[in-house]
Amino acid sequence: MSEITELRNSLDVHPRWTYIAYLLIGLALIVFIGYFIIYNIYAFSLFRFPFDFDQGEGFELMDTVLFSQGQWPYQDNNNYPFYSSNYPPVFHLVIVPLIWLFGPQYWTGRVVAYIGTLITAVAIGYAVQRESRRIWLSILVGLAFLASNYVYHVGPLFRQHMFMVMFETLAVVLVTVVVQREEETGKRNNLGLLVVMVLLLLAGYTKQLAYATVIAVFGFLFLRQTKRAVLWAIPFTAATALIFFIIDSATNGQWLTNTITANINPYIPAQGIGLFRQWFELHTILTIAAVALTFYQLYFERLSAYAIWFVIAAANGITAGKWGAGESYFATAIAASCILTGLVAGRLVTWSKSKGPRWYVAVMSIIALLFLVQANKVFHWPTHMPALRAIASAVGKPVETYVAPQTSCSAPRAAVAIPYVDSAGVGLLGRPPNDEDIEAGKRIAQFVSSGETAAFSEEAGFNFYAGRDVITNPTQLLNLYNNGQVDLTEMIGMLDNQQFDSVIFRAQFYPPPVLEVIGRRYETIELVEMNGFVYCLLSPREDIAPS
Amino acid sequence: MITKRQLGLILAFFGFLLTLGIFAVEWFEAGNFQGIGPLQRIALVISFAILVLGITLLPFGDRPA
Repeated sequence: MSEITELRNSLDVHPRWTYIAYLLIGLALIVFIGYFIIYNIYAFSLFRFPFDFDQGEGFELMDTVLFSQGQWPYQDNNNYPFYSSNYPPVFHLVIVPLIWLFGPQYWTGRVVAYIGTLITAVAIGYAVQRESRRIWLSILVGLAFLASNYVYHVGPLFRQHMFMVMFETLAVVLVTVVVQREEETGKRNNLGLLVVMVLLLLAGYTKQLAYATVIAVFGFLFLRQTKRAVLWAIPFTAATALIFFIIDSATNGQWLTNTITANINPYIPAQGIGLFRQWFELHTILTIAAVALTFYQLYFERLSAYAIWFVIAAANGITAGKWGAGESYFATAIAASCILTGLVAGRLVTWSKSKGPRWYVAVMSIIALLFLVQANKVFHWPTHMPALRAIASAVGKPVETYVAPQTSCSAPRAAVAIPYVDSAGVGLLGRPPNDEDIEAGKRIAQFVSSGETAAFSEEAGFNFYAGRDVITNPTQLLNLYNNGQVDLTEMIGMLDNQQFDSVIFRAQFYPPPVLEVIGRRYETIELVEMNGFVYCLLSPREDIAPS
Repeated sequence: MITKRQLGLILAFFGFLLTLGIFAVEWFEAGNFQGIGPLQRIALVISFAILVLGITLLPFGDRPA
């Protein structure tokens, strides 16, 4: 806290004011460290949860298992087990060694994704630290990233999105360092730029959405070193295309079908606009600071890679309106806004220092207050522990939220109190899973085990737990069905012949003809609630003989 | 290196093309103009903002962007 020491040593400011600035900064740090503790509680409770917390996690585990067995997850959906992945391979390949060591465990991918978010936070802090040289500020912006509701919700899940954000952040921070050093020394650093390209490639082959960051990095290079940007774009495009065609060729075209065609989903304007509005409402301070610095750089300085990245990532947030997309699509813009906020704050502190101690104290205090306002905006807090409940109560927040369990295949249920509060609204991500959820998952897995076959299940976790085949990826099938790219004949035939001893629904994501045949041949015999969802367990109808 | 003026020209041109494109999609897809929807209105505001932003950069001349 050298800032504070300087303040205290100043003769122009009454010590009381310096202490107020000190207290406010300390308070902001405590609040964001509090969020970090919450993040860890959530993450560690997820590590011990052996089923899907977010629909789709199990399929990412399945992708990893297939890679660990030397198989591609980009398979023909027309034939048993009717399974394919729609995501690129990098995230899953990173987890493969853990699968070799520990088997198909959910915690493997969750730990890797969680570590990815920590690396991103450190990279954000580093980007601010190298310019502002104020450790408290660097820590605050790094923690502000982890404190975002969106990052908190998806960060420790077995999902590749935040791992992509990690590669994106590392690429943008590194390109800033490389170009800045080149401009200072007059020497080209091609090796550094090569590493940036590799990071971009890794981001793109972790998740396709990274194209926005690729555009941002090349846009930045184009502004600074136009000819070099074009020269580097050619091999980068060639490498990207080469990898694409190698995988497509190795999978007999399934890569193209499953990662591109299956991602062409209907756009829901209300979802896109709603998420844009929510992103701004939750991250108001970060966003306004980022916009302000971007405009300042646009007119009075040179545009930084961070500003270009922020603008393109925020614009790309419009794709969150796509069916199947969601809040996580703003994570890249949040990372960029955290860096820009740190840079603005650092500059303001430096500027105020030159204006005199009173300005210095005032600016430091205002910055701390704004971080506290931001902390209030992203409020998310599990209240399942007495201490956490007491804290929520002490700061005037509610201690529980009333949410009706989500039903799709059963009658609606009344809202129940859950020990979790979130300013992002009522959602099912964020509440740490508990022992009841684990027992509910085991009950469903037991239902699968009671039959002879694998379950025709919307989630992979129950088949994994029961040691059965993982069958179908329902959202993938629905996307392909909507694009006319899947032949359901074999699948419908097997269901019609009741060749699966159990069917498990959570949201009925399957294509309509599949739901229709299940409706005719299977009946619900039990409902189990897990993670706020009501799962329907179906068995073959005995009153109707297989056709 | 790109200057502020060049960046302004790029943005103004891009904004103009985008504005034109929004109307063009409506004409080509629907066959006839049927009015601007809520998403198109947002896109129109954004494209017009890009165009204006580009124009405002023109006076900044040869300063590096």
